[in-house]
Amino acid sequence: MVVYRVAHDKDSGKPLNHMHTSIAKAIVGDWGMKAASDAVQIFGGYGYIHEYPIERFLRDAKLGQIGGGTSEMQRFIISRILSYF
Amino acid sequence: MNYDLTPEQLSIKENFSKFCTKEIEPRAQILDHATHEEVDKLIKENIKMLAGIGYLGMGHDEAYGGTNLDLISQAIAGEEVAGACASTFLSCGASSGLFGVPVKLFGTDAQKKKYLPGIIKGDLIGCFGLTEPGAGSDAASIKTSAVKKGDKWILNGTKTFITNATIADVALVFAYNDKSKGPGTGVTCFLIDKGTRGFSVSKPFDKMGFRGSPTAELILEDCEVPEGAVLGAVGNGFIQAMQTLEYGRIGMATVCLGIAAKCLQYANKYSKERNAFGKPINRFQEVSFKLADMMILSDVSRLLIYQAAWAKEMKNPESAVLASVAKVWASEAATQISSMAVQIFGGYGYIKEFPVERLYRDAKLGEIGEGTSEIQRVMIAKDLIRKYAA
Ligand SMILES: Cc1cc2nc3c(=O)[nH]c(=O)nc-3n(C[C@H](O)[C@H](O)[C@H](O)COP(=O)(O)OP(=O)(O)OC[C@H]3O[C@@H](n4cnc5c(N)ncnc54)[C@H](O)[C@@H]3O)c2cc1C
Ligand SMILES: Cc1cc2nc3c(=O)[nH]c(=O)nc-3n(C[C@H](O)[C@H](O)[C@H](O)COP(=O)(O)OP(=O)(O)OC[C@H]3O[C@@H](n4cnc5c(N)ncnc54)[C@H](O)[C@@H]3O)c2cc1C
Repeated sequence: MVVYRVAHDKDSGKPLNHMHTSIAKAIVGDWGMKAASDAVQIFGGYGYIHEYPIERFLRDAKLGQIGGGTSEMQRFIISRILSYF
Repeated sequence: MNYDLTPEQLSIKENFSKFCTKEIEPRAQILDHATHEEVDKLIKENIKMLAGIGYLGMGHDEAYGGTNLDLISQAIAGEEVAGACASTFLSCGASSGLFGVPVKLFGTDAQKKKYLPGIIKGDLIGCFGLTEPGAGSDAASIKTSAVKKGDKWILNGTKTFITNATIADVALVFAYNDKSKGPGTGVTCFLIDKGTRGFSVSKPFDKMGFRGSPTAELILEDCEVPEGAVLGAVGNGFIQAMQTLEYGRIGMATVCLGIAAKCLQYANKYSKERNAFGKPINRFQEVSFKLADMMILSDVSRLLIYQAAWAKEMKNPESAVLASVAKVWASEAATQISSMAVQIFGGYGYIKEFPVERLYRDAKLGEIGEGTSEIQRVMIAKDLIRKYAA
């Protein structure tokens, strides 16, 4: 939903809402990492081997916290916006 | 899905925010520190005040004095009420929601006429009695019994943790009328008026949080009620309770969101004014990242609540599981957020003069009431396993 909302902001022609984009990026990045890690855990040993796609998800998910502005940068942006309220 | 609030919804937000900031919020701290007797008096006044601006009628039909607004509008107003005073939200919700919603959905015309106008005006207060000393999460194991004698029902049992018990004019009580049939068709819900012989209320509990909302036991000792006291039909009680709790979960998520948003508001303001090491503490990343996390967690709570409310409005079959998702997230977010707020206030967050101390205590109920976080996860997992079976 956080992602859809950014898409909705864009589709309805509004100026980019930095609060919305940073929240989306931070939460999806961090929770994507957690979901991938939990999935590996559920698969146990099989989750750790190349045969199953699960271990690739975990490797890919890590990029979500780094690429396009790290999770830390998103928090920095959100807190800067908050400081104006 | 459209992520913009309608002009009507925006004006509801503004009106409730103004009213609650002026009339309700100043009383929150007083309610929290009041004696049980004072609480009963003050909370009734708060319910009456909010009824005055239409809050208790938002989910009810116009025929009985309500405004029949959508669940998102109700969540918007609810967030403002809860942020101003979580106890007030809980007591209003128990009366017009946990009591009022099943009467609206399952009651006979006579029952609706008798109770709903008073509930909506705040002249009558209702409560919802499901939980028992030996049956909380496992609601099917309730022991309260109802035995038919001529044209009367005789009820025996004890309900515990009942919000509004001490101030209620009427209670919904769930009892087995036929244990052999099991919960599905063996439980019936009864409307019991205050003053009915054999019906009494215990002293209120001394709670960690929500101290402004009275909680007590309902005691039924050979309590005799007429046939007309059956809500809807005999045997439907358990399903009625479960359907009511689906609304209740969106409500509990909303009170958590109100608490969380208020914590963020206080902590954000404080962190700009409080100086340490020669600068405002919001210039330290340890503090500002907490604020950012508070924003992320509460913003997602709001979206999940609106999603669950929307699904329920659209009669989407996923609405029950979405209500559980919203409730788990919003309640766990609120306990984390309120803890971060206390942390940002430092020593001041730990003393009762500052409202974050109250918000921190209030937040914890969210993970317990209306089905614990564990029970929500059990239900979410069951739903997933069912979907991916075969
Ligand atoms: C302030 C307040 C107001 C309330 N208002 C009302 C009201 O108005 N009406 C009403 O009917 N009730 C009300 N309740 C009761 C509330 O709904 C129950 O407290 C709640 O359902 C939990 O039940 P319990 O306290 O008996 O805990 P238990 O069911 O005894 O649970 C204890 C622990 O065991 C865990 N657990 C239980 N079963 C499972 C399982 N299958 N899997 C994993 N973990 C499990 C629980 O998650 C919990 O952590 C209120 C409670 C409070 C504190
Ligand atoms: C019950 C109780 C008993 C106490 N007993 C005593 C006692 O006996 N004697 C005594 O002298 N004091 C006592 N204290 C005071 C206690 O030590 C202080 O509350 C504590 O040091 C924090 O200071 P503060 O409350 O002024 O918070 P602040 O210093 O204002 O901190 C507010 C927030 O900003 C953060 N922050 C501040 N500076 C930085 C920074 N540079 N980088 C990152 N984050 C920062 C803090 O971590 C905190 O989250 C007591 C406090 C309590 C609540």
